[in-house]
Amino acid sequence: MARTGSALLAGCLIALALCGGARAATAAGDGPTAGYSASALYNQANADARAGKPGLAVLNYERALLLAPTDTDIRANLAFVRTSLSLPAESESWFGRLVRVASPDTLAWTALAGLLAAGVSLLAGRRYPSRRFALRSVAALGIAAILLTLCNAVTAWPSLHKAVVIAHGTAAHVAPAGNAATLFSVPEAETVAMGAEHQGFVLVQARDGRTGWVPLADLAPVLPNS
Amino acid sequence: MTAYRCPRIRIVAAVALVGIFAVWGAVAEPTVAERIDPTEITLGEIARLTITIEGGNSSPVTPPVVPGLEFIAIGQSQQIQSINGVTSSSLSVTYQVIAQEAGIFTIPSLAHSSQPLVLRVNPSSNAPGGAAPGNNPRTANLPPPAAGAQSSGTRVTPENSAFIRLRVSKNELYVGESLPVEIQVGMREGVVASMNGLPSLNGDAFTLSKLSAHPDRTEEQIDGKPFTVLTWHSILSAVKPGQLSLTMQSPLTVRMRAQLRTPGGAMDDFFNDPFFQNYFGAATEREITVASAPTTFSVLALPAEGRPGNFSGAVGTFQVSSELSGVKTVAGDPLTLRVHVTGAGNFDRINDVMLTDIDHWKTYQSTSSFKASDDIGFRGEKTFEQPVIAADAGTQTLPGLTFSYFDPKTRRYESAKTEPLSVAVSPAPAGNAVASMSQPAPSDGATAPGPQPGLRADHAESGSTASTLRPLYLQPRFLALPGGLLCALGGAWLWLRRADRRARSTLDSSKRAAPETTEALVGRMQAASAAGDAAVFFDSARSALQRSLAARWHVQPDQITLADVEARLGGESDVRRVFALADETKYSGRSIETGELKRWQQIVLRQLSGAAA
Repeated sequence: MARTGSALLAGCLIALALCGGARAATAAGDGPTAGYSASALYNQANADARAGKPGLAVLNYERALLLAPTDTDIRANLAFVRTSLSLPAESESWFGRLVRVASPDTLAWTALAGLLAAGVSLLAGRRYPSRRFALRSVAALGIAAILLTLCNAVTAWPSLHKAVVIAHGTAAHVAPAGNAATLFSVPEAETVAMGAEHQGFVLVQARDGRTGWVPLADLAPVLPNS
Repeated sequence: MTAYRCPRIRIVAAVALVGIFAVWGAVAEPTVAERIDPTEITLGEIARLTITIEGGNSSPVTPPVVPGLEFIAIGQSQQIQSINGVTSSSLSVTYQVIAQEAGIFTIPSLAHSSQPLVLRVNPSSNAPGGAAPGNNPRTANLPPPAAGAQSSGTRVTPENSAFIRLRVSKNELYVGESLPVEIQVGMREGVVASMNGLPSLNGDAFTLSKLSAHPDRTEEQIDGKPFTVLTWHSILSAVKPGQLSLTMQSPLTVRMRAQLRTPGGAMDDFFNDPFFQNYFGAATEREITVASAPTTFSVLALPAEGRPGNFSGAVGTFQVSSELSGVKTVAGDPLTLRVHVTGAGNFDRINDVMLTDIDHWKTYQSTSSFKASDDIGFRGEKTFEQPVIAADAGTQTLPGLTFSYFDPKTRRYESAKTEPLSVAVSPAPAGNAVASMSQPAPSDGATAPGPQPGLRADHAESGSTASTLRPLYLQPRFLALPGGLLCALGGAWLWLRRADRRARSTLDSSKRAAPETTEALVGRMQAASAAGDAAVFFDSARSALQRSLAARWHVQPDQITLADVEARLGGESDVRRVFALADETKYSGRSIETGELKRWQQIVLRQLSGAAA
């Protein structure tokens, strides 16, 4: 019995050390100079908006939201820019708001801790039946953290494949060619879902469901290509 | 193949055509008019020779051959008119006349009856004895470096089908310097079937920018043969210093004709003419690559001495100016700072000339655009735009910007500076620390629009940054962690499960084996007692007691010996005596009466029942 408890404790300590080491490595890899920060993106978006570049403003607001989804200033300014351009405001479901309780990075670490807690609790429950209730409660909390992160990932997934129109009045064509027939026009700062690419054109889907081919140069993906 | 089916008929037809042309030419004697303008030039200047032939046939005009003069065809026009059924034609060819040396030159007339033309070439004042370097008269044709184009020699293919040549304004340049060049591909009409690609550079020490979209088309005669010359403009730059050479090449498809007559005949020129061969020759097409003669450059490294700290590699001649979108503004309202860099050179190396961190101002990322004033991007204007916001009220000044470049003409680094810009900044209205969203900043110097409610204020920038916008839980580097953790937990679960199973199986087997063996042993013991077999009786009794004690002591039955029993139960116990009698009856053959065996049977059964209880 004592040997099993010691093994579980050692396993937890090793796992925590691995997490800590990986987090330190992640932080070291990011470097102090290069990179994105929500506040810098937000300030840049404000500057773009003031300079009359709504496409770039919306793009930078969307990018800032990836890092700080709970920031109310970003959402307010994004909504203001959209409204000032007579674009429909982005609606968010209650489920989306529910799972957007923290930044994706925080949720990622929470899910990892939840996985560790749930796993260790379930293992310990085999050895300590008398404390089964407490251990199962801890496991349930860990599983809840994992599910929360998974839901957050599901709701964030479409945002990672969105793009913002950064050119004035981009035409969506019926085929990936500049001389193809125009289906509809996509206003600047509108967000579209990106699909297939072909010879400098991207198949996009507007928020009203219409699809068409738009020049790649007129779009900027919310998640930059690395 | 079909071309050789009736050679006689074709030869007869050709001779008939020649006869017709000869008779027509004899009847219509052409008149030739020649003119040179001006008749006196300075070495390095260009004269223009115009030859006009009226009447007669339109046979090709060949330029005169004069030692010391070079004739370059720059234009040809033909006019045909019919008046009252009488048809007349005139052909006019214009040449540039370039003198190689000073002197008086006599240009013979094509019409031998006319007076020859005379051209006087005076020596150059700054370069006596010859053309000054960089002042070659051919420069007149080369666009940006109009003074000083030099050309590698024209190397025509052996079959006189095509040539390619590179024309440059100078042969000495610096690393990174943009040098406008002309690439000329001459193709003989009727011989070159197609051009299979654009001219390309052959030399890894140079780069060639995109060729001009539409080549210029001219006609030129070389050794009396007409060539159609396509001229592209581009920019050449060297990537490393040294004495470096390059060639140009272009893929072509030429039509090769089998000669109808053996060489040396009087009609060779006629039969080998592309026009004639197109119709009467046997056609075979062949792909060739025409290459130019090597052009050697002296490429100099940019000097390290005097290099400014903000030098970014710009080489050329530039001017810089700046402007602000307004002279008055409100604290927190954006203005646009524009910096214009004009001139000629490698504009792609001009970057990062804008402001970074200055007091009382907030600066943002700048954007740039380039507007070329020629078709190769050598001359033009690059404009940088940067949003700036005055943080404090009062008269604020944006400092002048300094832009450094290397000027190959002066051979030294130059710094261009803009003037400081002052702005009157009025305080922002209360409760509106940072101005609202505004329309694009006007560029006509008007005041920036006033504050409007809307945008929330900027954030103080934190030091934490992320290397990517991709959420952490979607990064493979992070996903390795839960993966490893799951493996570790799975391994721990398997280990625990295996240990549990092993312990349970040991317990079950011992529990399961003990009653069965004891019952069997007791039966054997009772049978041996009835038969009076003491050895079997005590052996069975000992085994039964071992099973019973093993379950109690959590050891294997075989591990329980007489010494263990003596140590645990004492030397006077009945169990110890059973173990001792078992050895004694087994090895010494001692016999014990049946009544005694019955008594020991009761003792053993009592011990077994006590252990079970």
